[in-house]
Amino acid sequence: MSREIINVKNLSVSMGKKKVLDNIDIKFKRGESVVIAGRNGSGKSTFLRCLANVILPDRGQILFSNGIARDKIGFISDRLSLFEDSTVQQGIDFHSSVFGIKEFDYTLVNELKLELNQKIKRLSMGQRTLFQLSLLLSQHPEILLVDEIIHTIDPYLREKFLETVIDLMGSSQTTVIMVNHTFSEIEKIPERVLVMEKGQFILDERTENLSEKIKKVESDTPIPENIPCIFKRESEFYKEYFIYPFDEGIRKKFPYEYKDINLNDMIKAFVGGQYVKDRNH
Amino acid sequence: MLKTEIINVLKQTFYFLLVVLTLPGILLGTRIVRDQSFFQIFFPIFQFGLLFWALFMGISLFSTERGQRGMEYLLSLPYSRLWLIGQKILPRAAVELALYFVCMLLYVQGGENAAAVHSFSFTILYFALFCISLSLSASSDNFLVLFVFSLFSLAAFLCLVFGVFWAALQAKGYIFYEFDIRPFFTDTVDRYLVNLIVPVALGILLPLLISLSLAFRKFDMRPAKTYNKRFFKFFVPVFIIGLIGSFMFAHQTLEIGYTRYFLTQDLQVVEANEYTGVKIYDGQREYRVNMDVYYFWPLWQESPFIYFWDGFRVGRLSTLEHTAEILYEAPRGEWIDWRNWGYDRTMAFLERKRDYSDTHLVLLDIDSCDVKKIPLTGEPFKDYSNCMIFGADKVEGRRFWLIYPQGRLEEKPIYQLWEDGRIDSIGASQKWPCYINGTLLSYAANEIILSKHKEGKFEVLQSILNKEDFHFGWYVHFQKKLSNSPVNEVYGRKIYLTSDEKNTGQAYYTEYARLDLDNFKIEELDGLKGYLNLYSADIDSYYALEMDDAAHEANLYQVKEGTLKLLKTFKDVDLTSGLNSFDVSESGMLVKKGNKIKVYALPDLKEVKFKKL
Repeated sequence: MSREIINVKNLSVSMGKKKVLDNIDIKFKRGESVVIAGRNGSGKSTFLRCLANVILPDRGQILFSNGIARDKIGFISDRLSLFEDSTVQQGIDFHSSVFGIKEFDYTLVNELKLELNQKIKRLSMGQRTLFQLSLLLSQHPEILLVDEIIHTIDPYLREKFLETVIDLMGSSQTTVIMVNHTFSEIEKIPERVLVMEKGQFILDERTENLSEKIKKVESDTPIPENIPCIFKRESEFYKEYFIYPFDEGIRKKFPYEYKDINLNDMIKAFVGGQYVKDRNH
Repeated sequence: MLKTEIINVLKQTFYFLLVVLTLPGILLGTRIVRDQSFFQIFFPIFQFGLLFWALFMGISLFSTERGQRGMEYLLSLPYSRLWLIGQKILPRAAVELALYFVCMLLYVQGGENAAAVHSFSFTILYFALFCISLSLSASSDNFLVLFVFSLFSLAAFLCLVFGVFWAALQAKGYIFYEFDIRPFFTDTVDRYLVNLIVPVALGILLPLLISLSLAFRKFDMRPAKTYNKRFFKFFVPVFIIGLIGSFMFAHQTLEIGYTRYFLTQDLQVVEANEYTGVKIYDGQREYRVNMDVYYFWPLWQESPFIYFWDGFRVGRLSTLEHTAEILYEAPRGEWIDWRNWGYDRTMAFLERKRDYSDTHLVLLDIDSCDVKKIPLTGEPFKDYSNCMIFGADKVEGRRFWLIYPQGRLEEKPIYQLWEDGRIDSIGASQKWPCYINGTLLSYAANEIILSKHKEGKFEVLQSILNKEDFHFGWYVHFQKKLSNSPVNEVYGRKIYLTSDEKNTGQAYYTEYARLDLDNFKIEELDGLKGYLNLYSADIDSYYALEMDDAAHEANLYQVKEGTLKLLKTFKDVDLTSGLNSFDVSESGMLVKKGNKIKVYALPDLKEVKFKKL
């Protein structure tokens, strides 16, 4: 996990008058697993599509390190885009011819018990997801981009999907960048968390550092305003505050009970805080 | 990916052909159409079908991906955008071309009579539809929107093509050309239009394709508006350049009708074209003569007037006032023969109906415009209705004109037509005779017969041996029109006839001779070879222009008393293409090379500059 694999410089994308990605500078390392979270419409999927070459930037560059060819980038979009009128076998043949795959690994296809002459449009959501993953795996991708699909498939297939991704990371040092809203099942996967808001990354932390930097305080009374709070839930009898960035100095100064929270709650706090910010603005 | 694309396109083509082949069968089988062959019904359906097919091939470029929700997958493949679109366009373009050639083959093999659209129009519409629909294919996800917009764009394209043509017509001054687009759709298109429309069409279509390739480099999954904005960003400037280029090309190359140039005695140039009218150029300015002409042919000059003929009118152009007046107009349905003759102040010409019947000799007084008509009916003219006037004279106060029938080179009678209507037959000639110095030169086998008027009729004076069968006194070149002033020499040429050419009267001239009109001796000229034009600039001055096709040169000689004096050599001339022409008149020489006109004044051949020519 040492070498840089993707370098994004000054990336900007607009859709009409709206700036979807706003001058993004970010780097990713080989073998890194990254999750991108954020509100709907913050630009996450657009960012991923830029990395996948599906959307071309208006300004800026996306540089891949030497040796990373386009056919080593795998992309599963939330739309699960494939040629739907093709059969499973035709889809495999097409993908193999484009990516120069000599021997296709039918393991996943067989596990799913997919009929090869079945049309892709007849597959269920989960089957399509795993089928597309099997196509990408055959490319031996060095970068895997996954866009908001995990929550749409059933728990069994979801687990199957994640296991495959984890295997890939372990065996091939594949860089995985996923866009996700829920983290209950993928908590162990990401090493790095990015939160996107209005086309920019407002949070870029390693997961282990995040648990030290975000804490929750539950209180009956409001906490002082000089404690950095990114999100709060206040009702008459119960108040919850999410503190970021937290350090030991705050604990010493304000002796509340600072609780650890899981990744899911951390992201919720960030995302929720943005909604509150917008409301108050 | 190319293989997949080829298979898809071939499948679609198969279904298309199935429909166009089945439909005529159904129409015939159900007797909806009767009394026509299968081909007669099939071919127009095939033509129209191909037009829609061209449209479909273009707008369906991404229909598979859009319909199957595979566009994102396609764009994520490891291909550049240009490579992607290239793989899409290539099989479609190949099928388009193949079907086009099949259509053209069927057209020449009998489809012409059954065709719904003329081949040229079909070609333009077919490829225009394909290019337009291709260019718009990435602009919308909606097939119907693309279809409708393509049709509107085709209409706009046709308007632009004709608009450029019309603008070029106006800019070049073709004010008498009746612009009509109907022949484009219904009839054979003139060659000059074919040579013009194709490049103009390309100039308008290419910007679409160029813009497509430039804009598509950045095509992505954003809404079509983003792509369209980019497309128009490229299209607008490229289209403007293409349109200007098309117009400039049209302006440069458009040449309708035949433009004649005529050098006046006072070194002005008269330019005449049935569609631009008549213009006069002096050294500084251009003057438009306010007159429409069907055809302008100068007859002779009497400065500042040029007498001209335009098919059914005789008129006079003033190079001083730059105006024209009509002296005589033939009755409706009748034509004036251009082979006129002038004597004193009378112009004589033949006037007849289009079927050569009802011929009259018309005597026009060019000062008073009084006209006298003598009908040429009856026996002498029953078999020879297409006559020409080749001479005139006066005997004892009575005027006569000499007439000889046109047609094959065989012995034909010569007639003397008196002013009172009397017609005398005065001999015969195997070639066109001439009348010089009051002497009639007529031709028998290897003999020139000289006759003179004596006591009311022509009598043979002597005959000259014409061993080499030279033909002297070609009247257009050698005779002054308003007087028969004495000349001491006349030049002629030797006619070579092949067995094929004998009946048509065409000849290829290779040798020249001089006939001394004092001692009637024939002297062959040395030094003149190849195709030659001899010009009579004045009553006693002759010029010869010798064309050397091999060296691409033209040599101008002064010819006097059998000797040649080389005056000027013109290099880089090509007389086979019709782009170069030379004319020598009294005042000088007019040289046309392509679109450039140069004038050289005689006798020193100093160039005369024209600012506006």
